[in-house]
Amino acid sequence: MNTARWKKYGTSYLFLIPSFAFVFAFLYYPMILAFFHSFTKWNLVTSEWIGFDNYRNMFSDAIFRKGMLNQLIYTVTDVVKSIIFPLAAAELIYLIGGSRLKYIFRTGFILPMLFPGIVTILLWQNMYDPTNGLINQVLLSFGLDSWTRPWLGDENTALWALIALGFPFISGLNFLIFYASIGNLSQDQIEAAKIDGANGWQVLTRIHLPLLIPQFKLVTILTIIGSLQDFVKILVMTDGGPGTATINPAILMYKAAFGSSEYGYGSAIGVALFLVILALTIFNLKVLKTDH
Amino acid sequence: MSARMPKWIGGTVLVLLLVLTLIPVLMLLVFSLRDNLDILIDFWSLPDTPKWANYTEAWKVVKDSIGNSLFVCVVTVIGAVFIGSLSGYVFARHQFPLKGLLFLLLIGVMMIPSLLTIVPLYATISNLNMTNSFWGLILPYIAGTQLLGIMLTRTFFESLPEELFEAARMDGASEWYLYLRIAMPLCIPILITVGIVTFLSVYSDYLWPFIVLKQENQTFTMAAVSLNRAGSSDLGLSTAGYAIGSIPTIIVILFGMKYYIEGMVSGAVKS
Repeated sequence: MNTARWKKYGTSYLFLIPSFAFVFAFLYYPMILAFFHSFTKWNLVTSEWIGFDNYRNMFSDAIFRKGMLNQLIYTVTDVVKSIIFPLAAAELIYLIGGSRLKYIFRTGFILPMLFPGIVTILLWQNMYDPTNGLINQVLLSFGLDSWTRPWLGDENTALWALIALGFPFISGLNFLIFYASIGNLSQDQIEAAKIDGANGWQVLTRIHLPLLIPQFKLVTILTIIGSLQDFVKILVMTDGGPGTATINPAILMYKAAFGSSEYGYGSAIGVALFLVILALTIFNLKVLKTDH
Repeated sequence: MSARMPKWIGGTVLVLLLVLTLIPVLMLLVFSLRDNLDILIDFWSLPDTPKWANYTEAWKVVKDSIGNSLFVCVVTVIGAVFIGSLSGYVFARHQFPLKGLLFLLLIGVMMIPSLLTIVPLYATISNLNMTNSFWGLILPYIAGTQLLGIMLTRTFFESLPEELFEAARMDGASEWYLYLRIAMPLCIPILITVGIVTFLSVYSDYLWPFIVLKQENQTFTMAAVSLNRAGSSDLGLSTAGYAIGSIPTIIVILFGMKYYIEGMVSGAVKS
């Protein structure tokens, strides 16, 4: 680059150096490491090329297959949870009307968002406590002593206890998305339908739901991507147990790397999950593009 | 009457859902003021004499960790806001070769799921001797959180009139001066929005501190988890600890909401 050009553009590139330094050092470089070391046996100090062995081991491992099955359950229930409950709450708020009531309910539903997510997880862990947990105490006070159990310690209930965490699943971004979208729906069509004698249920199913399809798509894809990466609550509450009852691929990645120092194998699981997420993202971009 | 029925039922369902939503919060407030032995003896009673000692005890346990979290948050926010807006300014106001490609290279990073980089990022941090150091948190956090700042400030800076910068350039002002003294002060509401989002995500993160730091340098989220582990034995103490540690996020969200709305209103008035 000659002096004149450097003078003209130099400052621009100079100002961009900090951003690029950070992104390359802490995002692109680790990403390249992940791809490379997914083909190696790696203990952070030395690594040995083993081709596709990590990937082969992954898919022939019974625990990993169990993790994929659990993941399917987590993801499907996550999508259902992220749409039905927030949508129902938002619709009901508009149904009862009254600006003051609307405000009170909306504020109430998002109140738990004031607390760090980990606090909510820990409070739910306390609720599942076998002795002084809220859930068993409720059952005891209704005389349902035989229903009480260590919810997180029982192989038959642990997975569903994790899925039920956060019930009724309203507080959060999805609720705000649905609440805002319903508020922005054009009232003309709805008024016209009401004049033609449509009842509330018909307005909901024939007008609201079709108009909210873009929001459903957005929430679904974000939820699936989040679901594949979500293992903090598993790590904190059950560590994947009891046995393999609550394990998923993400926590297996964590355990491979930080539990048994198999960083290459951990990288391979990370890459596999990344490819799934990438495919979903591309699919999503194409689907959303044809819509608008 | 039958036409009114759905509204009545809807209201009841809504109240029920709201109560269920707020149970964890209620539990937090009630238990944090009760003695643990009382909870074990009579689970359902309310605190007749609030046990504030839970809070003084819990404060001793969590205060260092909250200080650590706040340090990491503040440095990350300053770094992300500064670096992000600097790049946002260049992308908005400068023309230079490869601009489109460079912007894509930065924003494209948002497509990389954090899960993919957890393992190799730990290796990177470990090679830099930053395990058990706050910089092992701060530097990767800045890398990820600056991106929102780049996008938001670029859009804003593009909307400013060129005369504003042209006049200062005529007076011989350097690009650095234009960025720091003209562009930056104008976009403070946006920088606060970026700062709030960054602060909340960093303060709430559990996984990365848990991987990088040891117990002696723990963040609040780590302290909360270990309180819970020890704390099945003392529910009053652990819930008081969660409550204290939630104060920073509560303050930031309440303060931020006001600022956010003010920023939007003033923007609307100007246009």
